[in-house]
Amino acid sequence: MKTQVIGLICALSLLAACSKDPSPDRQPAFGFERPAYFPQPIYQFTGNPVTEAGFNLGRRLFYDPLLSLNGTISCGSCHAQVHAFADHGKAFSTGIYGRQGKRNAPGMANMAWNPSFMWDGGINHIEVMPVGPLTDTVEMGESIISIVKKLNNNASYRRDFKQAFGGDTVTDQHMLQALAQFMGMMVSADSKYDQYRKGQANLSTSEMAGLGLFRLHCSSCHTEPLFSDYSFRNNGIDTQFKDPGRMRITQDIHDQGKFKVPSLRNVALTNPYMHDGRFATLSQVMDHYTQGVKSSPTLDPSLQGGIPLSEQEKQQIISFLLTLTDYTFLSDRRFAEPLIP
Amino acid sequence: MKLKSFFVAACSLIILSVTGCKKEDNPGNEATPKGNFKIEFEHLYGTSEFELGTAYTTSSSEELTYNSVRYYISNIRLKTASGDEWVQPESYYLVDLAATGSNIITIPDVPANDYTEVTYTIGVDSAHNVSGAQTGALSQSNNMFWSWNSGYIFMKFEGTSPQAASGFAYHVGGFKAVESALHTNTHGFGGAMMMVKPNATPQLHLAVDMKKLFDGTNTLSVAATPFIHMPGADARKVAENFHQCFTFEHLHN
Repeated sequence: MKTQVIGLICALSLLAACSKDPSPDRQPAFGFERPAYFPQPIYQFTGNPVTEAGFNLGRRLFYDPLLSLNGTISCGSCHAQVHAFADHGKAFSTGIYGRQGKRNAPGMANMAWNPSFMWDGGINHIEVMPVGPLTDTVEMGESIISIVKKLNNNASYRRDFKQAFGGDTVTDQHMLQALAQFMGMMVSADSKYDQYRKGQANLSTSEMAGLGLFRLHCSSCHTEPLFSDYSFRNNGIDTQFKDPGRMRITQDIHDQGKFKVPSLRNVALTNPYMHDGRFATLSQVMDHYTQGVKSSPTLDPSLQGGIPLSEQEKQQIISFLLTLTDYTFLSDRRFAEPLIP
Repeated sequence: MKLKSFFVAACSLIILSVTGCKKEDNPGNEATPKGNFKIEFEHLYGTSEFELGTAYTTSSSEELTYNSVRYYISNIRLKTASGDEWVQPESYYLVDLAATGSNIITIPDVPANDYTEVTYTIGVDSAHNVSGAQTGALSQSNNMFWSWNSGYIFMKFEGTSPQAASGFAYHVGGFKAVESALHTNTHGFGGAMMMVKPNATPQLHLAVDMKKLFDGTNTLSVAATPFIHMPGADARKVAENFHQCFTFEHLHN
C-alpha cells in the first residue's frame, strides 16, 4: 500500500516536473474562427496565439486614452463600434489638442484578412499597425517608449500583462500583440448577406437585383466575401492629387492618386466615403461612379467612362449594400468599451 | 522498507532526469564547449576619435556636428580557416553613440574554435521587417521603425550644420529588393585567429571611419539633401558609404 502511494506521488511529481511551463496558461484557440466561405486569413496569430486574457487586454488598451500623449484620445475615440469602428460621421478625425487628421478613419472588420493597412497600404502588419496612429502627432501623438512607461507604472496593467503574456514587465511587443489579438478577432460575418450565403435568409427582390448588379459592376475590386481585393486604385475622384495616395509609399508616379480599395462591410455605417470623406451618402457614391468619374493617367481601366447604371439600378445596389450591415458584429459585447476596471 | 527505499531512489532519479530534460534540447552539442567574444566599434574621423557634439568639416567644406548616430548590426557570423561557419541566432544589436557602451557588443554561446573571419549586416533583414512586433534591439521603443511606411530605420545620422538651416537628419533603410539599403561586410583578421573558448573573451576591434560617410563612394551634402526620411535612391547612397566606413583594426584573444 505504502509503496503504491509513493509510486503515485512519484508519478504525480514526475508529471508536475514535466508540465512546468514558464508561460502562463494559454487556453487554446480562444475565439478566432474563419467563416467557411472566407479565405485563409493573412494574420494567423503566429507567435501570438489568441487567449482570453490577451484579447481582453487588447480591448482595454483599444479603449484607453492613457495611450495618447495627453490622455484624451483612445483608438476607440475615432473607431466607434456603433459606426462599425469608423468615426462618428466625420470626414477627418480629431486627435489630441483638437488636431485634425488628413484622411478618413476607416471602419474596422475582418482585419486579419488585410494584407496591408492605411489608405496607402504603408503599414505591412497588423501588429505594427497601431504604431501609426499612436505616434502620429495629429492623432494620439505619443511615443512608444512613453506608453510602455505609463503601462509599467500602472499596477493593474502590469497584472493584466502578466496574465496575458507572463513576465513582470510590460513590453511594447506585448502591447502590440494584445491589440493585434483584439483587432484580429473582429470578424464580421453575420450580416444579412452572410445569412443569405449560409442559406439562413433570403434577400428581397431589390436586394437580389442589387447583388446581381454588384457582381457585374463592382465585385472585380470589391471582391466577395471580404468586399475588397485590397489593391490600390484611382477611382476617378480627382484630376489633381492633393494626396499622393499609394505614391507616398512607392514613390512611383504610376501610383499617384491610388488608394486601397476599402471593404464594403457595414458600409451603411462608415460614412462619409472616400479617403477624404468627400461623399456623405451612398447615393453620392453611386452618382460618382455613373457620372462623376474623372480621367487621369492613373485612372483605373475598369472605370474608364464610368459605370452605366439607371437610377433604379443604383437603388438596387444600395439596397444590396445595406445587407452588409452586421448587427451581430455591431452589438458584440466582446468588442464594446469595457467598464472602467 | 527496502522496496520503499528503492522507490524513493528510483523516483528521485526519474525526477532528476526529467528536470534536466530542458537542457537536452541539443543532445549532440553537449560536449562542445562554448565561449563569448566581443566586437568593439571604434568610431573615428580620419585618424582621430569621433565624438558627438564635435564639428567636422567634409571635403565639400560642409561643417557637420552630429548629435545622434545609431545603427543596427545584425546576423553575425564567424568562419574558421577550414570554412566551418557559425551563425548567431536572433542576432540584432543597436549601436547608439549616445548610449555608453553600446558600441561594444558581446556575442554569447559561440562554439569554441579558432575563427579567421567575421561577417555581419548593417541593418535588419527583410524577414524581420515584415513579421510584426519584435523585441529586444528591434523593439518599437527604440524609435528605429517607420510607423507610416513599415520597415526598420537601419541607421540614423542627425545633427546641425551651418550649411543646413534646419539641421540634417538621415534616416536610412529599405529592405525591399528595389530599394535595398542592406549591406553585409566580411572582414578577415589579417592572418590572426580569434580563439573562442570557455573562460576567455576575445575582442574584435572594428574601426568606423565617419569621415567616409560623407566622403565615400558617393559624395554627400547636407546643403543639397538635409533630410532623408524614407527608402530610395538617397538612402541607398548613404548606406553604400556607411558600410565602407567599417574596417578590421585588430583583435586580442
